[in-house]
Amino acid sequence: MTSLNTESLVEVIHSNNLTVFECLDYLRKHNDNIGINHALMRRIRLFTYDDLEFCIPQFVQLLVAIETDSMALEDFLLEYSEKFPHFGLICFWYLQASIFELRNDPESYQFQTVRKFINKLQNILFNADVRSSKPSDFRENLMPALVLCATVGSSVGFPRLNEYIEPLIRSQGRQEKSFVFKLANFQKTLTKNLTMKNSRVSGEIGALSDEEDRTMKRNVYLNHHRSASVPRIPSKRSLNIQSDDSETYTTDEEEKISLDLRRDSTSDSMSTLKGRTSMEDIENKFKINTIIKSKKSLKNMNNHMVNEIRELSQDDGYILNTHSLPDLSKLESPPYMSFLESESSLSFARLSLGDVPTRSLSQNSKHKIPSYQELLRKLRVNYAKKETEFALALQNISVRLSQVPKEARLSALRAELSIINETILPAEIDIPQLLPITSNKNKKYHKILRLSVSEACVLNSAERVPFLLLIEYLSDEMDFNPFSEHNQNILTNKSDFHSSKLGTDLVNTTTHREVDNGSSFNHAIEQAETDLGELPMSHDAGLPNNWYMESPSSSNEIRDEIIPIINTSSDLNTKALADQMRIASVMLQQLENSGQSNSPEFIAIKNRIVQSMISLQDQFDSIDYAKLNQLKGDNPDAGERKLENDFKLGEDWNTKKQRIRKSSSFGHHQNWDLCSVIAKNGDDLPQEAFACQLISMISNIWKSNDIGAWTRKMKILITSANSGLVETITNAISIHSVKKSLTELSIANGENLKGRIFTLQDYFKKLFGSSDSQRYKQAQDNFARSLAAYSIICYILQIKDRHNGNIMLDDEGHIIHIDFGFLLSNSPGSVGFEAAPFKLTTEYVDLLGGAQGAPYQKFVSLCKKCFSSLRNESDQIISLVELMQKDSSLPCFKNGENTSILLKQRFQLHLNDSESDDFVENILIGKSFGSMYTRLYDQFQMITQGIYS
Amino acid sequence: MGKAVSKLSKDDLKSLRQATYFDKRELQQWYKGFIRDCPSGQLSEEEFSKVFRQFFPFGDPTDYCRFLFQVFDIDNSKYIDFKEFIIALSITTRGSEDQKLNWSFKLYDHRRVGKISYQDMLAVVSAIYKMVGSMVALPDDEKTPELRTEKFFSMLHKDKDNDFITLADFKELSKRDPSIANALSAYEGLV
Repeated sequence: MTSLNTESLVEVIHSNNLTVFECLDYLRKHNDNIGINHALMRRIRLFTYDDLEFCIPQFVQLLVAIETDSMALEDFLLEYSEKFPHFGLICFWYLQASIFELRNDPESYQFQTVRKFINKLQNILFNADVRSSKPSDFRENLMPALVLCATVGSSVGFPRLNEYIEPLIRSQGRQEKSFVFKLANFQKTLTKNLTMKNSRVSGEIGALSDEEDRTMKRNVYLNHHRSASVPRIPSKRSLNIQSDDSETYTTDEEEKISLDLRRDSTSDSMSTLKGRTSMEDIENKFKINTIIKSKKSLKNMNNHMVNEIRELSQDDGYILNTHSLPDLSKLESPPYMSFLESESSLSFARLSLGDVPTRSLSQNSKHKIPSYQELLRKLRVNYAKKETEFALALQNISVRLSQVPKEARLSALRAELSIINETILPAEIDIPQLLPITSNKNKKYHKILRLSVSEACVLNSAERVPFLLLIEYLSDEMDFNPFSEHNQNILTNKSDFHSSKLGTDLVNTTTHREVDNGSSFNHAIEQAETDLGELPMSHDAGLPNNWYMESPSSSNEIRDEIIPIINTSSDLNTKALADQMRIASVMLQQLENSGQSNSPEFIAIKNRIVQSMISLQDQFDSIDYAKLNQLKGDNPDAGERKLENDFKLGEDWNTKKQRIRKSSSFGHHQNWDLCSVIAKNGDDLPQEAFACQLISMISNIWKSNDIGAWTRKMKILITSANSGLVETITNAISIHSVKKSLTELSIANGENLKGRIFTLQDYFKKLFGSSDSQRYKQAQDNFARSLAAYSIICYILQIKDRHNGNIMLDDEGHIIHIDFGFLLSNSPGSVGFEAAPFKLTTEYVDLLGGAQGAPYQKFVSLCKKCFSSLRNESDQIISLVELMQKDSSLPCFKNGENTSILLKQRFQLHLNDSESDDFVENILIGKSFGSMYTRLYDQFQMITQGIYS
Repeated sequence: MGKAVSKLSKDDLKSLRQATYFDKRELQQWYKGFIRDCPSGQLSEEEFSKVFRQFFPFGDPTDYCRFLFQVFDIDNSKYIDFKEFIIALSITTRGSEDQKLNWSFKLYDHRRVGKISYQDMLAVVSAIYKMVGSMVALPDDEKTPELRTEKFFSMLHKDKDNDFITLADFKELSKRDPSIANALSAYEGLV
């Protein structure tokens, strides 16, 4: 037991002033006591939903990193996931990120915990059958059993005891524990998994001895299998595959899942295609033997295939399997790419539509009308599936784009987006956390209509290929009321879907995977984690399924015919265009992969393909440009905004929105709306999200203390360990762009012969009028309030890499920091330039009217207030970092436990209030003001990256 | 694997199948669980009350555990073994109301005289109150263990200073107070 004073803890728990973060902190510190955990989690339910949703990353971290016997947190998460669809989805995505982080240590407590929990969560999110998802009641747990006896014993003396203890007994009784524990080697851990799993089954049906037999047998399989496959697999992967194995064979329900056994990246599609005829006979149950056999033949086939491609042979079998999707293993992409791929399919949940439980249910209740709960569940499952499908689709685009030559990426992106428009949208999809919450009562959800294909663009940074996406949606369009007309339709269609699709789905699923879900390769982890089969990628997507089947049967023909077809196809519909785009990009990939991409012939072909792709790219969205120009002309603001239009990025958001609305076939809906997001791939997203969370927390402190500081809350939605959606700031541009555009513009106009670089003051004058004007003064004030806020934030959180490309100005003069790749304990590379507490250039000071100016004075005094109010509430910031740094692999926690210690030091808690003010003025601002280091860093960026200083 | 025998012997199984409501498979499963959570196979009073501190961190369960431990420890060996545990579990989860009352009567009759005095009862009720701490809201007439215990005697029209509660009285209590009957059956069908 910790040396806690439980008396005072009771008071704390019942206090009205308790914050969520304090609760989280107590949970972490009292992880060794079941009762305290339950009491805290009971208390936590009293906070608002929004507060709790905000803390999902922390809940997940608690679950993963803090070992406990208590079931309280788990129960809470499952309960909320069931109640609130977004809660469940966000948890799910964060958990995927965790499991991915843990992939190298499948024996660990953490990995096991997350794995088990994901299974439960998936059952809630993706299993429409309410009955089969009931948790089993009471497992063989000694502790709750003893307490149960004690409670019955006390019934006469004190019957009220149950008010407190019954929920604990029931909750702890459900706990799943392994019967075999503290095993050192991997082999035994496997047994453990199996036993755990089986114990669940046997709880319902199996006999004990059976169970053990099964365990044994499966282990034999495992050994067998592994010894056959591991040696051939590059060491990087082997771990992966092991974890895969453990899971694949642990699944209780082997039916459809087994189709996904293919995991080794090379040539899955090959083997599946080869095996397709036989697969039909095999039906649902793919025998393990078959897998092993097919794996054995993989290598040969693979080599064979490569040769064939190289010769661009006539064999059409190979056209089929040359993969629609490139073979990752042959690309020069680093190994994480394949992780990434595999990771992505984590989000695919298994449809348990035709499973036994459903059948038995339908026998009992064939003529019964499904209950409200069942209908609700169906709608939610439908929603969760669509959501994950959409997230995955976006994620896969990034992956595929990264394999396309840069020139062709935009065209490929547009093709991909139109495919999503065709196959998935419009659908019951909202974007949790990013789209504004408009109504909290009777919460309604937004519904995504389509992606604006012509507005999408690929952002520059090379390998990960993030892209900007404008999404049209209907605000507050849907809910889960089973009796609304819309939902009735979904429910009816769904049941059709069930009955008609099931039989044929198996084969389709395989083809889907090759084409659409670039991730059929190497699924080690998701297999391991999820036990899931696959959602069909698209409901009736003839296109992604089959398009390659229709392609000409030899590469020679492709060379000669497809390109002309592409060129003459201006009147084709989007679908066909997208087809061709994909064919073209696949061809490109094949060329790249063939290993001869340097020969002149291939370069010529490549250029032709790229050219034709580019020529196609604008045909996806028919925009009436004439009408558009007219619209612009009519807009009285157009002149004023001209400056920003010159910057291209800076088109006024509302103007853009109107323009897109006019051209959209959905634009007439009253609740039509548009949002702009960046779909990003890369492992730094969880850290970015964490930084944004810290900033939100800090700015909430300022808000509640009425400091008057201004920050822009950035929203990031994590959809896996290395993908997510980032909200874009629609009315701001980076200082770099401001300067570059102004400078270049003036040079072009012949007004700036000396090539002077423009200052922020120039920009403010241009945008807001003379420095005496009210607008200018307001903008100046905005600048001061936001600069103070971000200065203190940058110091406290040690946000680095503050060049002008990462600092933006909005149209009201606010400064906004973005890009949090470096904070707390990491900084860019070996460049130790940014030693100043924060960035305060002379240019900023000039903009604030010089060191004596009133705006500057306001800035200084705000900095002091900001700092002192943070000092008062430093506990919650420190404890949040303490929680998140535990066992974390995020680069910002490079210093481990020291991260929070150093953070604490920066609050200078030993100073009194007036000393703290002095500290801000003399040390923080004093050191930062015109810091040599800041200037050096900007110059460094200017020289090396061309970022304007 | 572990040192403890991982399965019950045939004889143990046979006798336990007679002594409890559990079938062969359930007994084996519970045995596994018991050995997992208590690897020595024997639970001391200290370990026993440790368990309760996990569930009642806001009070002190020591006293109550002492009373309860005696009820479990049929052979007075100072340890609870699997058999003693599973018998208690069988009664409390699958036994009839009558069996449960017989079992819990022993808790209050801690002097083993076959009847319960006011002081006997008060000791146990106080121990429960102490264990729960402030986690349960109490009505005015049950604010203290004394009030609660007096309530029993008045419910049975007995004089707390001179009368005793017999097993029959004890059973009568659960008939008169439905909340007792509810508490007794709270876990029916759970295990």
